[in-house]
Amino acid sequence: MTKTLKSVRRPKKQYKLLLMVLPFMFIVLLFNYVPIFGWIYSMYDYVPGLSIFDCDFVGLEYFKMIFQDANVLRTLKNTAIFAVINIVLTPFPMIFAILLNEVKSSQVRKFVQTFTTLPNFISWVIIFSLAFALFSSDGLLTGLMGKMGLIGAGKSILSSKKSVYWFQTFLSQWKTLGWNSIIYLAAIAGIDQEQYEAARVDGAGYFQCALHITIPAMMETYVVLFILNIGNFLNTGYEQYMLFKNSVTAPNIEVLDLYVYRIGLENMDYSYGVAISIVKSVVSITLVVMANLAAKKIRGNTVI
Amino acid sequence: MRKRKVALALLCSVALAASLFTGCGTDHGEKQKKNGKKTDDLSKHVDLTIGGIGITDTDSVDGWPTEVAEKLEKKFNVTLKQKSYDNESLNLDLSGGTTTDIIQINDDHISGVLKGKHAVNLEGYKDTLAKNIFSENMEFRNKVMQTFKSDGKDSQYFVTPRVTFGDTTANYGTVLNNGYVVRWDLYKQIGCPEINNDDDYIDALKAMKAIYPETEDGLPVYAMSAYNDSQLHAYFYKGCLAEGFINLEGGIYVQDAETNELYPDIYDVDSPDVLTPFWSGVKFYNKLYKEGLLDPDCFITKTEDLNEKYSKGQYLGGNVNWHYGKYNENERSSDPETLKEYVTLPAKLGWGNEKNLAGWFGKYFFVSSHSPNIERAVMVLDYLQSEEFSRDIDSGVEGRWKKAEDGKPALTEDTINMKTDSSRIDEWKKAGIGGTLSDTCGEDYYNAASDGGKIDLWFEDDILPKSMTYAEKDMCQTLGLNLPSDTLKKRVENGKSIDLGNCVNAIQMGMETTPKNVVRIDSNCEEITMNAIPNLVQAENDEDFESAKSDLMKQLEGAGVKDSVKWWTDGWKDAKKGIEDLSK
Repeated sequence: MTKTLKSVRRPKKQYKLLLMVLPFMFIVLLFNYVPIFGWIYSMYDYVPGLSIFDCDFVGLEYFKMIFQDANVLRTLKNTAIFAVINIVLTPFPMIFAILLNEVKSSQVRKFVQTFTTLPNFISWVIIFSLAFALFSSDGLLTGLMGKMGLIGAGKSILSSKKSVYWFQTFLSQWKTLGWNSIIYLAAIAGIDQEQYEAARVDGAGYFQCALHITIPAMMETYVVLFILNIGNFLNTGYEQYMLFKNSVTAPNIEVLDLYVYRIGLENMDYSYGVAISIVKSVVSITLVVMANLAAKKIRGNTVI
Repeated sequence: MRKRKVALALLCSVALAASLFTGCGTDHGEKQKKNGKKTDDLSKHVDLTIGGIGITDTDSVDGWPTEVAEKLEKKFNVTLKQKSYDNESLNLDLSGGTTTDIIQINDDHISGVLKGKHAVNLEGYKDTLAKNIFSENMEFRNKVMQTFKSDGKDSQYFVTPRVTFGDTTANYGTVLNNGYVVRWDLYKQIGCPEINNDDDYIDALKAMKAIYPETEDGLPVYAMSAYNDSQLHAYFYKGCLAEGFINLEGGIYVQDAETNELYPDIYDVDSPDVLTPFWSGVKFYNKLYKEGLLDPDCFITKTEDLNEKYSKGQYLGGNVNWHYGKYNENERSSDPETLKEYVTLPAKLGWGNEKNLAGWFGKYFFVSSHSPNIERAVMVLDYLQSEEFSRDIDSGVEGRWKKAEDGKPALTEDTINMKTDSSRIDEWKKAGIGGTLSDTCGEDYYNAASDGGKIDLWFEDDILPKSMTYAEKDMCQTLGLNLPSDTLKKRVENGKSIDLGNCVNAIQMGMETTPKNVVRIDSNCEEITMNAIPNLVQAENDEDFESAKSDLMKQLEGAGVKDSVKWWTDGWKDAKKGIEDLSK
């Protein structure tokens, strides 16, 4: 009899929980699913100001165009290079968090954490202005590098085609390192301190503690973030690249998102822009599923 | 239970779809018919907004409402505002039917506005509320709008600003806005050598740099730089002035200012005897580079960086007066009798005596069919086109100028003083002269008003010398001129320069809307060319230059430039004939 009562009450409790989730589901629906309706624009030759159904239906014409467009291949290559470099550097925030955790002075630790987190809140426009002041041909750092013989007179990293990939990666790492390490610092705080004490009793040093306790404890977090990064493989954003794009860097710096921006918003070729975005979404979903399957095969459990 | 779930899911889907489609199917025509009473009833006060690309938002205008706006508001019992649009926000408002009452668009939006029935047909108000728009002087402009920017007979949806009337005579103003820019103090020191072409100009820049290698603050000085946030503008515009062309949007095609023929600016293989503006400009920058005169940050400089360096005095030259105003102001405020000012000398093409017989290209005003006050909006648009408003916006409301005993108008001494006295800046802004509505008025600055004066009284011959600075006066004294702009006048008289007197810019309005495939090709060609510029400008010798040019040509051919050239050449031929037919 008690069992039956419990089984009747449980769904009611779940309804209450579901009710609480409802506003958030609505937001997700509104901002993540309703815009999918916009995919229909890729099938029409959309003219701004006209109802979509008054525009000419073109079917898969824009999707065919993607495969004939040499710029897609070029920007895809750039996107892939930036994405691979960023994925290779994904352990950096974790390593930074471990090192930060080993700093004994809490004041120094807090200062370093604040100092490295702050750039995340600086807009790319400000960062570009700073970079211009430092790295233009008569910039402060360019002058220093010139005196050290690292760069020729009148040269600037900002107008160097060869330096695009590493320089842009350096800037984005500088901007996000502190912020990305926060989640790892939280994971470290959750590790049972008795494990470290026991390890030290057994003679383990800092390095061995990190290797055998901290890193294994953080692997779960790392894998989740890694899979999310894989899902964002093609989502590099465009603000940074748009600001640093110039006639010298353009061939290497233009990523897929920036190309979609140029095509869709600057040229008002909305339908073609949407078609490229759809292909990008499909590729991203495929990558996430593949990464998830790989994680299951290697670690025995899935994340999504 | 399952059926209820299915029904609920279906209901939700239908509701969602219905909410998505809301606003897509509004019948603008129906609304227009309901509002189609041609009344001039002004008893009810209404709010009116003018919106457009490049229009300044009135929330950020000092002194708004200006005296000119207040007069308009009182006359039509309205509260007037302006809203700034960019392409995205305009498209969004057009799609939702939530545009401002009066809108200014460019050629990219014409097709959507017409097909979407967003504009009110002004022909319906021809004899009632829109008499200024349909005045005799505006006939040619109206014919162009009806023939090329309409969707059939007896329709006119758009009006353009700044229409030049047939009998208008223009002067070149006090100073030149475009040409060869020099620092007057340095140019004077090197003996004011005559500048007839780019080579002379480079020699003068070189001589100026020799005596002024760095600023007083120790900053390096360069002859010039380009700006990279306006695509190819820095290159083709420089060339347009040196070779006598005007550019079409984007500079991929240019119009000969004398013959009115169209030339592909970058892909010049079909006209080997003509040095097109783009190649002229690129060669000029290449020469500057080879002489060590070009700013090494040339390819990363944006307009604001350029303005900053001009304000610090780091450049010796240029080709437009848009960038050096702050430097001149700063120098004058620290020493009113300074000679350290930028001045502009004439190139081959002097940007004067423009005949905008069909108004300014690329600025089309219409009344929105979604406006809740269509008649009032038509009345205001008609007033903006009038002689009265054009005089107000250029010369101030009556009182800022007065009629003499012979009936001829003239600016008052107080108004002239207000413009030149920096302590009266707030009063000047409040007056609204040349202010935020100046790109919306119907008449050209030089048109003769019915009272015998020019629309813009600042262009009257006796007023022109009054706005000269000390350095400009010194320039006139040194070179034996009455006005700095006389440099151009003399060269035009000698046949060394040309102005825009023979240039029919209305042909551009006769072009059909560019099809999307051509827009894609042109945009791609523009991007390819942008990326090729560093190799061209930094070519160490002619061989390298020709090799970089040859690479670019191959890339352009791969991008389909020939299809674009064919469309533009054919379209131009038709448009030219169409405009010539209308002129007969």
